[in-house]
Amino acid sequence: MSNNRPISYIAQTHPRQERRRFQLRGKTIGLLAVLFILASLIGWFYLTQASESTTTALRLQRLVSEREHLRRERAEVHYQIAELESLSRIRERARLLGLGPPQEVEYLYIQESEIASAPIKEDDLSSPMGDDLGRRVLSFLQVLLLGQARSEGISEVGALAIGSVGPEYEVEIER
Amino acid sequence: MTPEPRQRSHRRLIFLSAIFFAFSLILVGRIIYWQVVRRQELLELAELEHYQTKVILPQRGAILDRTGSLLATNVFQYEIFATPRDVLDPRWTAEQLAPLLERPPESLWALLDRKDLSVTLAKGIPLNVGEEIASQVLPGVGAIPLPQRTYPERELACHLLGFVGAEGDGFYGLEEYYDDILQGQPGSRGGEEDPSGLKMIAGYGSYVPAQEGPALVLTLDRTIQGLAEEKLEKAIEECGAEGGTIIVMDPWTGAILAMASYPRYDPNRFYELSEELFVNPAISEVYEPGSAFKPVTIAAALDTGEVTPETTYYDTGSILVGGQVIANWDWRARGETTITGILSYSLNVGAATMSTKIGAEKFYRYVRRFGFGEPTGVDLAGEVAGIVKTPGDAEWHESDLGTNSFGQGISVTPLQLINAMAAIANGGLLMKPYLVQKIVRGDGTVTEIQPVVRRRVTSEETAKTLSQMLMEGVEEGVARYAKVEGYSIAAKTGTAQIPIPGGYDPTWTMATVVGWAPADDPRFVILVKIDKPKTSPWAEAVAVPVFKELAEGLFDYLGIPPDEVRLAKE
Repeated sequence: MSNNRPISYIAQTHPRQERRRFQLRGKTIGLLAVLFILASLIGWFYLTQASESTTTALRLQRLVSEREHLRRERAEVHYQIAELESLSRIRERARLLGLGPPQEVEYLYIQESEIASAPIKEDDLSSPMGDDLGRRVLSFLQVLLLGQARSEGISEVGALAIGSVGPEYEVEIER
Repeated sequence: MTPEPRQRSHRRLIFLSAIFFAFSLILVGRIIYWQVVRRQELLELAELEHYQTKVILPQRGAILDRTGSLLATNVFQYEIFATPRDVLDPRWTAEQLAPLLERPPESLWALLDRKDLSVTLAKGIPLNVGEEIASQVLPGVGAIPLPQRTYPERELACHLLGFVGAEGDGFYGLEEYYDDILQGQPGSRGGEEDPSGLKMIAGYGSYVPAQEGPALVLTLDRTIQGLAEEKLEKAIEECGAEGGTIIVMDPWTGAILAMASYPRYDPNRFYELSEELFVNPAISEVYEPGSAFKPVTIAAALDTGEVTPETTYYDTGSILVGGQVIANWDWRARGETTITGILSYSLNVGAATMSTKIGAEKFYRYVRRFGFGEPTGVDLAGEVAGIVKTPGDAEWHESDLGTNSFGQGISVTPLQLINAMAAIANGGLLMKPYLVQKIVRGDGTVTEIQPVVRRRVTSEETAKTLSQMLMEGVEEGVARYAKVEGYSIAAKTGTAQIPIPGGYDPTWTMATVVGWAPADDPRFVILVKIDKPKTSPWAEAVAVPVFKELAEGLFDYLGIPPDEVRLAKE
């Protein structure tokens, strides 16, 4: 039976197959649309990536060039500083300013025990603000305000309050 | 009988399959050959076609003195070149470049109008000018930045530093000795290029930054070096000498604080100068030190226990050693003389008496122990060993035992001599002199160089005794002009004749003084050598005043109080 099989076929169309073809076309379009969207997305990703990579490469190239440029500038500046600080230049400037080597050097010998046993004056022990009661009160308020301002994180209050005491008692507040 | 059609068809199929299989085999074979066997070769060829790698030259490490002042650094200078075939308008390009390169436009036009593949328009162009040319983007014109070694202090410490040649290699001094370290590691920048040679931004690339050479921090003090050079130059001009050397050293560590020689040169312009100027006389030239060598003889005599400072000998004014008559420098006889007297009055007869008393074997053992006849090991290129003839050498004669004792017939470098004296100053230890105290790398790592004790040459007691004897020589002996009021100084002078074929030069001398201060607790050792002075042949007249002035300067600069204050504090 198989030996008598015809070599070619003649296509035959069934009426029900036509309806099927219509259904398939709808799916194909859908599939093609999905494929198109996917391809577009891939293309978009690729282009974005390529563009991003080119931009980054360009930026890197610029940064490397800038790095080299700064390296050269730094070397130049170092050289200029060294030349301005050179011994011959300092000597010349000193000569123009009328400076010269010391004619006479005198060394004073102070025993360490003398420093340790030096009498301490009463002024050294007293408060830098003096004994005045008003000033003491101001000082107390100042510290109080400063502590409050710090705890509340309002440094301006402290600065204002302290500033009003006068320049002699100004306290710098770290922010 | 003919085969069936189906059988024929089957055979054809087998035949065709065989042919296809054979072709496939050949193809697979070729693929394996090209893709596997010759893969690397082809890859390299392909890379060569479009992948270009450029070497990034590292910056040579800087050299700084102990205070951080730059002694050697780098600047970039541009080389301007052109490829004439790419220059669109040679005349216009020449007019644009002329004011920047400070050259007439005609000369540039002549270069740009040539048919050469590439022409160099200018070299050594300053950084700002080079960058301006590079920024103008003139077609066919290029600018390459090239590192250039430079020395901001110019002549200062030139013999120590050396210089860097056009190819980037160090010559002489520290530049040669530390060349491998200073050069750093080159980097590279690779990238794909299109057929016209333009870099493809989006292409594959690589970047390996160059590793800059580490910086060398020296033991040298720029101020002391400047002071030494100033004093030396002044002295040489005043006494009409041919040249000279000053070395200042810390005796406790072997650190060199200054090493000055005259004549000097500007290493920035080495290419214009004679090669003779580059040699460092402090380490590369030998001379006969004369009486400045006597402390070595006395040290040997004291250390072997053959004599004490109180030992006396009878000075008749001359002595016969190995058939040669040795006389005192002033031809005078001094009668009963102490060992201290030998040093104070620089008596040749006394020194020869000592060397013959201890014998050649012991004498030369001490000479070697003090480091004569071998390089000191200082970190400078070009150091020589000196010449010491010893018994057994073909050229040694018995009379050498006498003449060597007062520094004749023995050749040393100034560095060997000061290093030997430093050993006496520090209590008997021979140090290895050095110049680099730190190597600072780009990543912040620091290698500190520690002082090296080479060996003990004498006992501490011998060194102290000798120091005391040399101090007396400054108080009342021939070195008395070295005295600085308020300070104790130990020093020894030496006026040596210059050997010439068949004898000694009748006119010229080498004047040396070497000593340290404060004598009991030295802060520095100084050696001053003046070559062929005209005004006076004597060290006392030409070298000692320089020693004194330099010592005064060092007392002020280093803040060393007079003995009275210092000892009271202690």
